[in-house]
Amino acid sequence: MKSLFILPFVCGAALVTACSATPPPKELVDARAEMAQARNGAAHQNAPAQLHVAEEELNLAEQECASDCGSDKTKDRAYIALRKVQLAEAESRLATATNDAAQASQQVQLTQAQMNANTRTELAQTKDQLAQAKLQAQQAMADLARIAATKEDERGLIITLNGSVLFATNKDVLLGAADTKLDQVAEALKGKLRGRMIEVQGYTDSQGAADYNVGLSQRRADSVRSYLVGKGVPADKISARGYGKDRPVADNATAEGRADNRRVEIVVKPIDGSVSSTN
Amino acid sequence: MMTKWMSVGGIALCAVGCASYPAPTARMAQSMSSVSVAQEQGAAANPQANDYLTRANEELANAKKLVDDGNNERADYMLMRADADAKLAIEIAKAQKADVAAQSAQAQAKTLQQAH
Repeated sequence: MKSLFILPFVCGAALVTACSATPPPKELVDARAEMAQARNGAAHQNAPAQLHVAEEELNLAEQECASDCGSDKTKDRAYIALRKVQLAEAESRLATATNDAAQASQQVQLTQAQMNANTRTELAQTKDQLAQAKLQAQQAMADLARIAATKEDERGLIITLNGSVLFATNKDVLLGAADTKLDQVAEALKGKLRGRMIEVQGYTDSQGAADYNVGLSQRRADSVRSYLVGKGVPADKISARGYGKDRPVADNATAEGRADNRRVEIVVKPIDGSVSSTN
Repeated sequence: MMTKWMSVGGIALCAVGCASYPAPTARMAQSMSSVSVAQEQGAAANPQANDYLTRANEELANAKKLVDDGNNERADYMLMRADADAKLAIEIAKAQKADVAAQSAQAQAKTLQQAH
């Protein structure tokens, strides 16, 4: 009878020994490891509430293990604890990604705003430059109109200089008296007619051989061009061409008409105009 | 005599306790809902999330079988597993989408800055 009374204690002790000897299930080992990793990782900062829930679940698993480490309940609790730790880590990853996306979107908006502001500034600057260029061109036209006879036709702005002011008869060397007028023309042209090409065109009256007249008008146009280039008009923007007796502006039957036909025209072409030949 | 009555009482208590474990109806609904949300979130398209979704579905099926067998307590725990797996699948799917969105936004920001 006494031995029967002792039996439950012996069995209980054996059971406790068996339980304490049972190693923790893989689920619990994994959950503990994952929790240790999460506590030292970003989840600690980004998902503290979920991590706390996972800790509570892990405690339940540990309590089950303390009672019976090999039981299904211990495995289930540990399995669920592991998933809750992983859930906290996934929440943390989601928070990080959401934050990264928000920061990048903010950066995109900021950069776009800066680009728009820059574009507006550049546009305003371009408008100012165009307005200034237009003003300068108008000023140049006005200056030229004061210096010489000017008109506009399909070729562009035409500045007409009388041949007798520039050259002696049958000569292609500029007269000393021509300097003042050509200096004024050069001053008006240089830097104020941006983007526009200039052609110096030489003309004679109808007297004399045509070839001679073409040659003389070419040399005279060249002389004027060289002078203007020497005074600062860009060489790549100005060309010269002799037309001889072509395009008379007056009647070659009269001395007065022939004097008018002996001339040099400086043609300021429209912006899209091209130069038919260069010297 | 007293020992005999204690044993009988213990067995009776155990029988009452085991038999009275309620059917995990609410937990079943909760787990099924989580699985459904995981599918809506596109967990099946993400290999990692799909692994947990698959487990959740298997556990759900096991739980139904356990309920049919009258093992409500095991079924309840199986449903807790299913719910935990499904919720993890949802969060992984969401995080994956957020990663893609963040990378896209960062690439856009980088491209703009280079153009700027």
